[in-house]
Amino acid sequence: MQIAELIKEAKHKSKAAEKCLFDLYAGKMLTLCRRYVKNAEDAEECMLNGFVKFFAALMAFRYENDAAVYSFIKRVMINECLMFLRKQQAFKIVSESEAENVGSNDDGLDQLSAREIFELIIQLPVGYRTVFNLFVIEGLSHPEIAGELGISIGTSKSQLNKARTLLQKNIEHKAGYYAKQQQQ
Amino acid sequence: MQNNSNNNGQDWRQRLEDFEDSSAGNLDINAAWEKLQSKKPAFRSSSRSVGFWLLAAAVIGIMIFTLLQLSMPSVQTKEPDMVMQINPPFVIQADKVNVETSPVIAVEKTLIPISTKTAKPLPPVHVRKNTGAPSGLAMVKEIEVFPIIESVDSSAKKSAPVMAVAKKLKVVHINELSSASNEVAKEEQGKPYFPISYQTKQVYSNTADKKSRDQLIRIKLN
Repeated sequence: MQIAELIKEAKHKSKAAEKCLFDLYAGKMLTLCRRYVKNAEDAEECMLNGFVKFFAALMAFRYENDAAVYSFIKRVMINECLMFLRKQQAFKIVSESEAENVGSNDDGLDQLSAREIFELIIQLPVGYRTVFNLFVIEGLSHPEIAGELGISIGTSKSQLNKARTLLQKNIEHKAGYYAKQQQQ
Repeated sequence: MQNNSNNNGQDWRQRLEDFEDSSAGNLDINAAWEKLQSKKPAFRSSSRSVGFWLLAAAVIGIMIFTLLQLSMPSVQTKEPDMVMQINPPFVIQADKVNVETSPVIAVEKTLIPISTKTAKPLPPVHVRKNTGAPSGLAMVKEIEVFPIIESVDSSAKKSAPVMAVAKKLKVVHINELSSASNEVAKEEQGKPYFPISYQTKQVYSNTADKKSRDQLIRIKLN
């Protein structure tokens, strides 16, 4: 059954259509939520709450293509995760002086698997991790991130730079570890 | 540098999306679906409860409307089912009392019987009349009138009791009394009246003797 038909049926509160949509997107959305929330149980909670809101918002949703559906449900999940983090007061970040946007040297990125990259990201502190996810992965701008998280633009930039720096260290560490492994 | 960062960002994104696709099998879908269903009624009941609240609001509105209707003073819009009208042949039992006309309005009711098909005895109708008393105070004596029921078709027209009201005196300003077109003067021709002229300070009278030179008596006021 195509996604367009599933969306149409789900608008009429069809449980079978909702189950199909859930089976399609639940796994991906759980991984996405874990990138933000880190804790597996909290991530599942955010994912389920996100799906409840997604099904409720389907009435007003207009299907254009499959990519639009994926973007829509992803947006709902990210908002749910950010709401969870706000409740935990994870963004009580003291405003820092604006730092220059330093490019990261991701030479060792090719040596790492997707899972390792994922693990490195979730190891970051919550502030770094959130800004990194929103800027690098989701493609939001610093003003948009500042608006979402309730922080200043300068804070968003500095958090991103620190996240990149930390990730770079971790990547180099991992890459060096793999290089030593290969030498041996 | 920015291009480099953008490319790196796209690379990160692509890799993570691939990872998300591959890690979809790690979730227990059925257990997660059951948890979702347990969460859902909290959200779905809000839509069903809208109908419930509308119904409750309608019931409360009806109750308030009914209470308001009951609390309002009852206004009889309907005509009485039966109106008693007494014809002159009715016997009026009353003591021989001198009835004096008094400034109080005397209400006389002429009642004609209109009966229903049932032969129930009707209570006596009390007619009040002002009776003169030696002390000058108006006394009210109740006179009982016993109606005679005649078999009249109930579908006959019901007429309201006729009441004779004493003639009401017309109020006229003192300055209007001297005008020639005074309706009161016309009505009361022959009756004495004393128009007063303030400018000449004279009081005229129309009761002058016709034999005198002046048909009017003039009284000068200093």
